[in-house]
Order: sequence, then structure tokens, then C-alpha cells
Amino acid sequence: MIKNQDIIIVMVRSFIPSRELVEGYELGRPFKIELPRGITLGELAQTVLSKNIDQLGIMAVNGEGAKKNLVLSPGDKVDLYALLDGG
Amino acid sequence: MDMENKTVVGYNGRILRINLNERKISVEEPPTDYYQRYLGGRGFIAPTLLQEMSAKMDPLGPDNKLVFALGPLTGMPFPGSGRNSVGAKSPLTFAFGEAEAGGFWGAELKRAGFDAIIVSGNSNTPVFLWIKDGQAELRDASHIWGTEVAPAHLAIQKELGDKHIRTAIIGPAGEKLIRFACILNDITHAAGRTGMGAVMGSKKLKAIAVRGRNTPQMADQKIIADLGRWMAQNFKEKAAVWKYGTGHMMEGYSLAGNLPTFNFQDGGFAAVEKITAQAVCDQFRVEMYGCYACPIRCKKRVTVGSPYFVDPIYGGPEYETLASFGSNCGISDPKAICKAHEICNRNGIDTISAGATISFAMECFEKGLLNIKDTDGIELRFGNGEAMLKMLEQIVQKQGLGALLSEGSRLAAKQIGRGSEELAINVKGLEVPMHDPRLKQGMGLHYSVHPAGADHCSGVHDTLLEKGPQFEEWAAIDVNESIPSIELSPRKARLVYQFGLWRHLPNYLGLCVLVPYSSKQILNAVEAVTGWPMSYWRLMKTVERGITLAKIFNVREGFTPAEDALPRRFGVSQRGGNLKGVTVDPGKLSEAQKLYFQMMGWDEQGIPTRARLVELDITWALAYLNFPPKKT
Repeated sequence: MIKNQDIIIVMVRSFIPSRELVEGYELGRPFKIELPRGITLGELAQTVLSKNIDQLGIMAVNGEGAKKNLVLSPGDKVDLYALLDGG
Repeated sequence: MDMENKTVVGYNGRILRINLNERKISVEEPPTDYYQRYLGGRGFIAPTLLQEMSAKMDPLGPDNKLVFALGPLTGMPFPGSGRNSVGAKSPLTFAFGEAEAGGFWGAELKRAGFDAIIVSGNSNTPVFLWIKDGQAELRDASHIWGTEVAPAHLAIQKELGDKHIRTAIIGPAGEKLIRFACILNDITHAAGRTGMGAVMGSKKLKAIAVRGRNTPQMADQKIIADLGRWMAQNFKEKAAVWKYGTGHMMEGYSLAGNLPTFNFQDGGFAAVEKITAQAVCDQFRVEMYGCYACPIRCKKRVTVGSPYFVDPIYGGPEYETLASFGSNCGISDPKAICKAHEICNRNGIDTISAGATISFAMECFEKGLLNIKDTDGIELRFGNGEAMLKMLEQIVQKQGLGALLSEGSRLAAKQIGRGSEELAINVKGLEVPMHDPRLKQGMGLHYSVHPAGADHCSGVHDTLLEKGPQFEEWAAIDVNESIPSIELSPRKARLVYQFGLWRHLPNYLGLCVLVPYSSKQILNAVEAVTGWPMSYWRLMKTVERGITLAKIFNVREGFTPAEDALPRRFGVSQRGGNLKGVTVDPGKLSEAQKLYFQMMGWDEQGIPTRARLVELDITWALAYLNFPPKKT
């Protein structure tokens, strides 16, 4: 059984389509997600993006660039950007 | 060469010629070999300009040729096929000029029975060209000369009694010969770059109106239909631009150092969240809309009530516009950016060159190279949206300092002098688009060697190749190596050559680069439309043929490797952020350029070798290189 203190809530905004349904997900819009304490940024990305993880470019936590081994904290704001292309 | 005319599937087999000096209209029916050899787009434009013009002709004179070219895929019933290309000698760069656009005009021209239009001469009085179901006529345009883009478009539809007529049209800026005037398809789809609108204006050709009802023929309709269905089912997962259009990831660009800011002094903008595509959509979007046969609908239409009224008929800003008038001018007011976009489309000027030329002037002002008298009292500082809009109005009116800036940043800097040339961020006179070569070093190499100058449509976005979700399928074109974006090296030069040929290809086909087809799907589409046995090699060789002919056009104009320089600004670090300390190394760039030349079969001066022309089966072009050199 997972206790409340084992859960953290972070805000995620993904610019990569989610191949499998993640509750609350909307392209480019922040949504709340509950995650086990101790989860890393890379693990979060894998959870949200699933098979589309290969489209992942850079990631940010609270507006700063971050690496996948960063352990997330409650209330963090995570941005997942696709590989940067043209426009 | 097979000179027998055959019906070519996927094309109409007919090219329309308009001689405006003599008001003469004729039709050519090129042999099948012509289509197979050049495909379309720049592939049609380059040999036409090379063969039918002489060196040093005035780009705004009657001897310039204006070529509208489709590709085999243009107008076919599947997503991404709404593209056409326009080319001429550029009045902005004096080099090979070319721009491309989407919308419906190209598809309509295909349905009207033509694959290209070649316009020569200049008319004495304003005219527009009316093409309907294989017939063409020149009509008086005096009543719409001087009219802005939307009312002129609507007036043509009304005059001809058909609201389904499509137009490629210029605004007052093209008529005034502003060097970065553009041509707009159906009011909002801009063939923006290199001043093609000024060439059209010099010919007093206000518009080309088109209506066609012929269904394009293709060799295998089922494959095309299946491809269309596949994209309709999958685009939301593969093309994120469907939601907000381009510019949806500007915060990521800013974080990475790829968002040109303060005239490319920086690559990140503190107020970026105010000017993203989401911010614009949330506040001002009326609707999303798209191009022919495309479900992605990546174009946004916006309106603003106050303090500026922004007319939604002119569409809305995409990434290049959001950055060029936004971060690169230090402006965080999305209303001002939307208004700038509207002014550009209303008058018919390129948003990239316009924004970049104003950011150049802002830096000149801040550094004392321009003063308040020069600007007629406008405080032309970074971040001042009102000032940006006033200067943009001066440009489209060719008034005050705007008259000078309407010449583009390179020519304006020559007049201003005192070191302002260093602040003019262009290649061959074409203002650099909103992708920073310090992050995308291969894109920088592409900017430098592309015959048209700093083009981004055919460039390699290095960041896509840092890790490769598509390496498996790109292996077919021998691109399967992960290379850091900021690396500039021999293997990056190879990437710009090898993958660059593939990036150029959509222009030749009439296909949009934003529709996420795999290389295999593109290959299959060409085969299905034309019925020709096709291969990656053959497609890429066709592109190489087109680039080489465009290069010869420039060589004939006197261009040398000296004109392939990148602005010195990119040899200096951004002032902060993720890329601080990263520069484009001039020595590495020079080496990469030389390697690119060699891979293209060009000598150290960038002159295509006889061997490469033989290999590409365009030995006819030797005549334009004066090869072997005359002994004097």
C-alpha cells in the first residue's frame, strides 16, 4: 500500500504527444501528476511519453535545464520539449 | 535527350509563358525528360534563370524572369501537397532568389492545367493574369494597383464572379519595389524570402488568379489515398504543430539558446512566455486553418481589438514572425507582434527580413549609429513595441529612415556605415532566420553555402540529429550518426551535404516540410504519382542538379566564397544562457565549407567542376561557366 507521504505531486507540461493516455495530459498544457517519491526526471518522462520518449529533446525543471537523473521534489514544474526543429 | 513530347503523369505537361513586353501568352510542352531531370520547384527555376538570363541583369528590370513552379506532388489529394515555389534574380541579394509558399494556389494551378509559369518583360500598365482551365489572359489591374492585399484579392474574385478563385498577389510593398516584398497566396500564405514580390511589382503584375477543375492524374491513386488516410489518423501524434501552429516550443528554444534575442546578441528571452504560440492562441486566436488537403491546420488566425486593431483576414504570426518581431526586437507585447504581422501581410513584405532589419536599426540606435533625428523622433530601442510598429509603417511607406531600411539590412548598413555592417545579420544580404548558428552549427553552414543566402526551409536542424528517433529510416539516405548540435566538423559537413539534399527535396516535389512523412513514404508518393521507378539516390541527385545550377547562376553573377561568410556576430558568444561561450569557429566553418564544396563537386572557388556536371548530366551548363577558361 502506498502511503500519502510516499507520493509527490508535480506539474508537467509536455510538448510531445502522449502515445498512451495519461490522465490530464494535454499537449503544451500543464497538468498535475502523482508520482512515487524519489522518482527521477527521466523516469517521469518515460511514464508520460511512453513509446514517444524518442521524440524527447531537452527537459526543464522550474524553468531551468535539467538532466534525467535529477530527483524530483513536490511541486516541481517540469517541461518536456521535443527535439527542436524548424518553424 | 528524348525530345518527343509525352503525357507525363502527375504533371500537366504544360508550362505557361507570359511576355509582358509584348502582352504575349504561349504554352510550352516540355519533353518527359525535362520533368524527370528537374522534378519541379527550384529544379525548374534554376535552369530557367540560368539559360534565359544573362549576367548582371537588373533584378527589377524587364530582363529578369519570374518563375512560379509546382512539383509533381503539388495538388495531389493528400496532406502537404499545397506547396509552390517562386524564383527570380533577387533584388535583395542580387543572387539566385527563391521562396516557397503553401495554401491552395499551387494546387489550383495544377488543376488549371499548368506545371509552371514563366513571366518575362515588364508591363507598362498594371495587369493581372487570369488562368482558368487551361486558358490564360492578361487583364487590367489599374483599379487595384495601390490596393492592399486582402481588398485586392477580394476585388479580383468579385470581378471574375467566383469566390473559389485563388490568387498569388502582391501588396503595395511589391509595387513600391521594397527589396524584401513578398508574394502572398490567398492573402496569408507568403512566399516570403528574397524579394520576389518586388520582382512581380517591377513587372506591374499585381496578381495571378487561378481556377481549375481538372482532377490531377496519378499513376497509382490507391497509394496516395492510403497515405492521406494514414496521415489523417496519425498527425496528432506526429505533428504537434496542429494545436498552436509553429512557435509552440519557444520556451524550449529560449532555454537552449536558439531564440534570437536583441538582434542575435542573445539566444534566450526573459519574457518568452508572453510571446509563444500558446500565449497568442489563448488571447487572440479566432481559428486554426490550413492548406490544401491537409488536416494538420497549423496556421492560426488572430484578431486584436486595442490598442491596435488586427484584422483576422491576414492570418496570424508563426514562429519566424513571433521571434523576428518579438524576442529579436526585445518585444514582449504579443499585440504589437500580431499587429506587425498584419502590417506585413497587408502590404506584402517578408516578416523575417522586416523584423531583422528593424532589430538591426534598434541596435544601431542604441549604439549611437542612428539618432532621434534619423528616426524622426522615434525612440527605436529594443523592447519598444510602439517604435517597432512606427518604423515598420515607415518601411512600407518608404518614408524617412524606413526608406533606407526598405533596402534591407545589408544595403542600409552600407549607407549608415561606421561599423554598422557588423550589426546587419544577413548572408548575401538575406536576413538570417530565427535559428541561431551557434546552436545549430550545421544550419549555419547551410546558411553560408546556400545559393539564395540564409534560408532555413531547406536547412538541417542539427538538434533533430543529436539523437535519432528517425535514424532507422534515415539510414536509407545514409544518415545514421548522432552528432552534437554545436559541433562543426568534417562529419557535420557531410551531414549538411547528405541530409541537406534530402531537406531540399520537398521544395522540388511541392511538399510541405512540416508534414511528418518518412523518407520511404515520400519515395512511395513520388512513384505513385509519376509512375516512374524512383530511388533515394535518384531523388537526391535531382536536388544536387538544382543546387548546382543555382550555384552556377551565382558564379556567373560574380559571387565568390567571400560572399559565403556568416555574420561575425556568430563568432562571438551570446551574452548569457545555455550557450554562453559557444561560438562558430571561423576556421572550422572555412574547413567545413571547403569540404562541402568538394562533396558537391565544386572547386575551391565554389565553381562546379566539369566532372560533376558530366556526372549530373547537365553538361549544357558548362557554357555558362566559360569552361575551360579562355586564354587571353
